[in-house]
Amino acid sequence: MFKKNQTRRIGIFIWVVAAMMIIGCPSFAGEEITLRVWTTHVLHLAREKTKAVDAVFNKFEAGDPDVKILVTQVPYAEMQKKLLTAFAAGVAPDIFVIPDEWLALFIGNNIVEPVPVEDEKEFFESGAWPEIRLCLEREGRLQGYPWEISVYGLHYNKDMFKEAGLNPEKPPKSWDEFRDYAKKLTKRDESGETTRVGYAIRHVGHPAGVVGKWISFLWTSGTYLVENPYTPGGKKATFNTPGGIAAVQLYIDMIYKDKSTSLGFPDPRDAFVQELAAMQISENGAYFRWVTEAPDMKWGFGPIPKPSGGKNATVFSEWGYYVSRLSTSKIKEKAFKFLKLITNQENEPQMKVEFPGWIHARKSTMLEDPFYLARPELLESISTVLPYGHAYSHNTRLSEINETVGLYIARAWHGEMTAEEALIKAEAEVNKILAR
Amino acid sequence: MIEKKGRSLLFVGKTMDYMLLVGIAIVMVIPFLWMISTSLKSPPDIMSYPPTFIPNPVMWVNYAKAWEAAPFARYLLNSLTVALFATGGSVFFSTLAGFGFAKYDFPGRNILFILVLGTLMVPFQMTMIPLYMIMIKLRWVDDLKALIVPSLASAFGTFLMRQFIGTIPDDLMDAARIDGCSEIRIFWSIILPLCKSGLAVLALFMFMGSWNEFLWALIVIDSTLKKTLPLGLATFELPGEIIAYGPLMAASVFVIAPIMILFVFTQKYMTKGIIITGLKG
Amino acid sequence: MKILGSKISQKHRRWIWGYLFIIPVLLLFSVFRIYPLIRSFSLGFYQWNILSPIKPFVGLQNYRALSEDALFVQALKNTVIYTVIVIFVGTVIALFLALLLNRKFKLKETFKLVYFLPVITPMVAVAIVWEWLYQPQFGLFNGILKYLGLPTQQWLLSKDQALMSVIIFSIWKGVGYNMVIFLAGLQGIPDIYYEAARIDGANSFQRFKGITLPLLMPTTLFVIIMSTISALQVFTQVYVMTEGGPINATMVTVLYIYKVGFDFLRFGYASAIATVLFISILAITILQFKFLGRRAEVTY
Repeated sequence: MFKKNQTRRIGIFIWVVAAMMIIGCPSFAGEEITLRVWTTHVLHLAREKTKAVDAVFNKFEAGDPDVKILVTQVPYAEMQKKLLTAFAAGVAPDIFVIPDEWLALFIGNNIVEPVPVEDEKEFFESGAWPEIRLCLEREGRLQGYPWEISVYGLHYNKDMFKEAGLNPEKPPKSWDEFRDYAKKLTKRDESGETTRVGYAIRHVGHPAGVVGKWISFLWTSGTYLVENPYTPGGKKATFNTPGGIAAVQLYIDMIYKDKSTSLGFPDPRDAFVQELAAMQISENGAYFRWVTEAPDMKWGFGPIPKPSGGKNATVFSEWGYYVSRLSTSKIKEKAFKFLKLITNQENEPQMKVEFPGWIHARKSTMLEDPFYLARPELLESISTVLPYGHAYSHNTRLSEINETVGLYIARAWHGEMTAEEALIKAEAEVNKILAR
Repeated sequence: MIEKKGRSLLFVGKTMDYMLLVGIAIVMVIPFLWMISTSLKSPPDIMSYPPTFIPNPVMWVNYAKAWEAAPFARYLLNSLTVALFATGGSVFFSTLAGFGFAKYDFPGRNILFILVLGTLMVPFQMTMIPLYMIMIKLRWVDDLKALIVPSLASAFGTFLMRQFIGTIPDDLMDAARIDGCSEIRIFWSIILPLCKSGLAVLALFMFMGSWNEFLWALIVIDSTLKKTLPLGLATFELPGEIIAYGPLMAASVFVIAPIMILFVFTQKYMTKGIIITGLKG
Repeated sequence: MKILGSKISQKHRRWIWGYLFIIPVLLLFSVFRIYPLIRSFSLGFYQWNILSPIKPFVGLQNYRALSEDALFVQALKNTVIYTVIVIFVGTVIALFLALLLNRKFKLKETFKLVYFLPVITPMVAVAIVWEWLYQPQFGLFNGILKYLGLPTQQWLLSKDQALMSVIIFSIWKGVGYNMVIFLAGLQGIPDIYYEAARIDGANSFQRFKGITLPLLMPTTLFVIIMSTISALQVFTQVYVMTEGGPINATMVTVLYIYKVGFDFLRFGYASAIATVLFISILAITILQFKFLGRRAEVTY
């Protein structure tokens, strides 16, 4: 290509530049305090993108000019890897945003600094949903502030209800009604193949998701996964009860007896948006998909059905902002000051401007939210469902418990064993795990 | 192999060959076409049942949305910087090492070579924590150096060049030595020109590896302005497993385009490696 | 060469040069690859919870637990099935495509690019597209089956078909990669041999068997070894498409390592699994070198 001498000179030049870059510039440690915040959503704390957020940041900087806030946005699905690697290497961020399922592990290893008591008082006195404590409170102290709040419910297609002669404003309330509606809503083609299921089951993907979408049924029948579910150290599995068996059997009957659902349909949310399913159970936030991907669909959101004699229950889960105990006290102080500011009643609507339709920490914020203003029945439904909320267990081995339970109930649904066998085997394994 | 025009591979004629080529091409390209079609669709269109190939309406705006969703121009620059240095360096060092392993028989050669290969046999999820700790000590966290320097040594590259250089006859080297050439001269003037196709392939793959590296970039880069393209793609996956498919596919097209260009460019270097004239073994 | 002095024999001089050429790579490796490797093996002897400061030494406890772990065995089984099929089928197809594209014809470069497209398309995009292709109700594959009057399949949703579905995807995605390597290797075979063989009256197949295959052996060895090493560590496609399900039908070793380490935070146990995996891959690679490597030492 080039002449030999030229090649050599270019090569040397490149290597000198490379060497310089690689040996590189030292980093400067400033006098100021840096607050390192790791969060997941691209628009969260994105002051460069949203004016309202920038205004709130400015308020903070006006009061504390010596504090520099560094926000790192990590893709939602990757937060686990990145955060754990950083902790393992001893360089944790000061504020991190994680889901409540991981909280038990962080608290169990003494990593979370609880919110100062006075801040906590102020927060709840300003009208924050009391249910927030379900996930974020441990041993009487609030561990962090809520970010993304989720409550599970029954999403149903109102047009399909009407078509099947069911009242579109009255979703099924009991298990019997639920099964009955699902049967009526199922459609088959001439060859007998199901073209639309009355209800779509989540049975593939991460076992935590499989268990999470089903566990409300377990709770409504009065059963929990583990003894003392809201303490970190429960040692016994408690799901092998008639209530537990009934909860597993519910799906089995719907698959094989009623034939109103099927294991051959993909993720329930995909199925619902493609109108391959009339009902599905998942986080309320799934309706963002209905709104963008099926804008003409008329959908409703209601409580999860309960068995006769059972109690209403549903999953309530939150991603929260937590302060790392490993940071210096000066940084922790500033961190709590920052968090208090961005979550107070005045600033919450500003911070949430890019997140219409989210369950905000206060009903007052939701009343101002244009998404809810356009859908008053939705706000009604959510307000109804919230008090039924149960948090996931606070047990530190929850991941492994979910993995095991999810595996065995899926086996039962696939017809490999009866519900009783599945729970007996799962119980044995979970007890082994808890005994470790 | 002499590129014979008109010779058929399947012994049944040129038309069959072409049909086969086109058939395979269709299988290879359909997902890619689906990707492009999705990149121009609106969300209801993407999820429509039954699915359609032609977007309606055609959402050219997805490309604009994708570009704005993240500072892609910056990500592009970062990816390019990292990839160029990583590629140049790893090709150079791998060729040196491949030459050493192929043409010199020193004690411990095989063990050292297996050691080099051995580094490929552990999943990165295991070694990334200790590697991250090293980056902390070197103060290379959140710095592009962390993406470049560890990849300068490539087991893949070393192995590839060892195989390619291994096919070069020793006689050539011996003849040069008799003529008084230094080992370095031999490397530079004889070996390098003869493994052009190997170098081209290696450069292509090293570039691709660096360009598409996601996990390590995720772990080691914190600031938005230092991120690389694959991290930008992950921007479109939102909490609640909601994915902005349209802009995601559009962004994927940006990410592939430079590699397509590089591919076409390097294929030009895949010419004959050895022309043996009058050299009897 | 005068620099090294006449006291050193020629043989030893060659040795020194050998070491010199490999030193840069070895140095970089020791710091950035080998040291982390050794650190991560050592974790196998500890109870290493990522978040806990207490990390007790537990000797061989992790390895003992491994021998009783049914899921580990299943992961290994799935991984082996995956590897065997992907290597055999994938390598043959890649070689076939390379031979097909090695002749001169119009649009050759375009075809090469098209066959390489799956390799360069980001995994996140392709995996989603293939999930749609495999969708049971309206995916393209079932659509074709319906058109041909054949029964539709569950693909990724079926515990019997999921692994095969992932295998098919992987072969599709990886074939262009090995094709390009084979093409480079084919370039290195001098025309003279083909000429001579043609003059001797050998037909296409004989030329392939007697010249191409043997002279391609160094490249083939490379492709097989590298493909095996990477197939035994398959992760991304399974993580994205099935997360190991349904019912662990697609659970593979590295996904299990990831789950144990990052979901359950039992990094010591994960390290023990990774060590066992490492030893297996090492053993297989050495065997491959022994049996195939002999044929790769080509004499001219």
